[in-house]
Amino acid sequence: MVREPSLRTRVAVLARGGRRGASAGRFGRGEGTGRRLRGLAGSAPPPPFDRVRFTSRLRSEGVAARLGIALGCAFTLAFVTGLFSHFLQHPPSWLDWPSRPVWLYRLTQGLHVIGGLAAIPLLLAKLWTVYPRLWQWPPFRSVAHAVERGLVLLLVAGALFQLVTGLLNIAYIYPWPFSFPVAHYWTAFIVYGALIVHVLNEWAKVRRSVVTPVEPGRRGFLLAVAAACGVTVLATAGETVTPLQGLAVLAPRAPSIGPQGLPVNRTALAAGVSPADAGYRLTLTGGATPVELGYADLARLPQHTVELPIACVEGWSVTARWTGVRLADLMAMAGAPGDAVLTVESLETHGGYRTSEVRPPHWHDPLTLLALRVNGRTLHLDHGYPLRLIAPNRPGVQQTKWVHRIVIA
Amino acid sequence: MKALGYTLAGALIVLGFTGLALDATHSKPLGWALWFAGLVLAHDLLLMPLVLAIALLARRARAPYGYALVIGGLVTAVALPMVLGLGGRADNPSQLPLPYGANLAAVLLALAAAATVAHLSRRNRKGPAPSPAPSPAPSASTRVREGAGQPASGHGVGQGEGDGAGAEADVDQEVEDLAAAGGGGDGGVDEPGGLRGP
Repeated sequence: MVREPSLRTRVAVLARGGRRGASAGRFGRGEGTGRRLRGLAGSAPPPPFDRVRFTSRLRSEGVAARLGIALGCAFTLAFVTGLFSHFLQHPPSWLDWPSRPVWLYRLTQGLHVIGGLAAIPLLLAKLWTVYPRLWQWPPFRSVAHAVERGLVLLLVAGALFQLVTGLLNIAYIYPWPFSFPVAHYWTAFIVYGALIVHVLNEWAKVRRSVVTPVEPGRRGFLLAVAAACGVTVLATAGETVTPLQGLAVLAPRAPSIGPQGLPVNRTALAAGVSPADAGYRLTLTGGATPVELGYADLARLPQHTVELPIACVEGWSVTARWTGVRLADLMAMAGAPGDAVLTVESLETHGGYRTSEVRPPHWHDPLTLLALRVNGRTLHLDHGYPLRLIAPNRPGVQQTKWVHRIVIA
Repeated sequence: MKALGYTLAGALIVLGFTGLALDATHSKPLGWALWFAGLVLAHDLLLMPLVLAIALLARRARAPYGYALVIGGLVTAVALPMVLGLGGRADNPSQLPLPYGANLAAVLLALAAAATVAHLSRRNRKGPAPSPAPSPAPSASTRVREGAGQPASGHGVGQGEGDGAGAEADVDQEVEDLAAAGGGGDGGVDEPGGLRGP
């Protein structure tokens, strides 16, 4: 009978302390609930906020459980795809990630960001559902209860931290003193650990709740939250799923807006790069044969055209047609050993992404180019003129622009 | 099994804090802690009371409008940083290139329009209603009860709260009212009388 004995009931009662204890029979048809009520009525002093009540019937254990399941999935997806990006950007020396499938990085980061955006309505709805429990009285029933609530605090604070900093980051607002990637990365472990604890603690309740159908009014609330997630996804996903770009009215990027119809992350001005002069040379050092090529030399080498996405860790991505010289051809000219690790250097004078590392799976891939042209036109300075790296399954920040030197090691 | 889970979880939490502490140059532990604690305080003490107040004001709204308010509020929360447009560099027009304020307004208007359509079609289905706030048709309530099996617990709670409420603040009858007022199949979560009460 009391399959859902009730976050709701407990909430109402806890928020009101013992005052209502006498009417326990009215709420609690289950013994458990009744006992809890009597216990509270007998032992707890009335809370100081006795006159505030949370009365919405939309709150229930079933609602909280379903929102919790969705959030658990969303945070798991974000954790996994975030770790994936982290290890692609900071690979351990023993791990050479593959250059295929071409779309893997694009897919994972699209899921990370669009899924993270969809988690915002879920988290707000979930916190609304359980908000009365914040004011439960007494706040701590035992040491174990205090520890449990402390871990819930870590989870709530951490989840808010991840979603808010992530959202502000893709909106290019940085009102904090810390480095976003560093804080977002380490906080993810705290959140995920606290999430595992929460799941272990609530598992029995969730299992009990989900087998009970949600009552129509509450189902309506859940559907409204789902609709909010749906609207969020539809209004942003077009920044990475190009066919949906017409719907992406709230996305921080539009796939066709930017120089030459392509978004830019770091402009030449931001990077402190001025247009290369006639003295520009690409140098390949560290191989059997040192090579030096001017822009005209590069344009005379066999040109290849590939379709590859530029995929940003911020979630946006777009496919373009790149034309240039195969990196593998250049390495053959320079006599690079097959297992060489390349460092591609930019004309940028500073910044964490001035250079990037290219490992064998990527530089052997025939799709990996040093591009001179994009979509049939000479690269715009903001896209890396005179020369940029473009490779499959690789973070956008590592598609180094304004390339002028490659060190073979 | 459970112990293993707690151990793994504890290790992850310790790893997170250790990572932040060891990379203090970039993680700025004090700033991090201010944001970590500040966001939860801002949510619990500012945002949530604001939401409850808005919901209280909108408590008499019909169900479709209540749902539209929930959806619109949540989408606005996501879109707000883009709408505010505080970020982006002047030399990079590909950052935040859209008129986000107008776009969000269009989304909200579309939601309002959808709610109106839903409201009107509902009213037409039920025939011309003499009262602006028709109580749920008995058949609907019956359906609700059947559909929900024995909708347990929540019962009575709402009813109980109706009495003797007197001066107490019904902090968030609201969204529920939103969902249930207007009646119909979605209303009356657990009482045949819906919100009109006993």
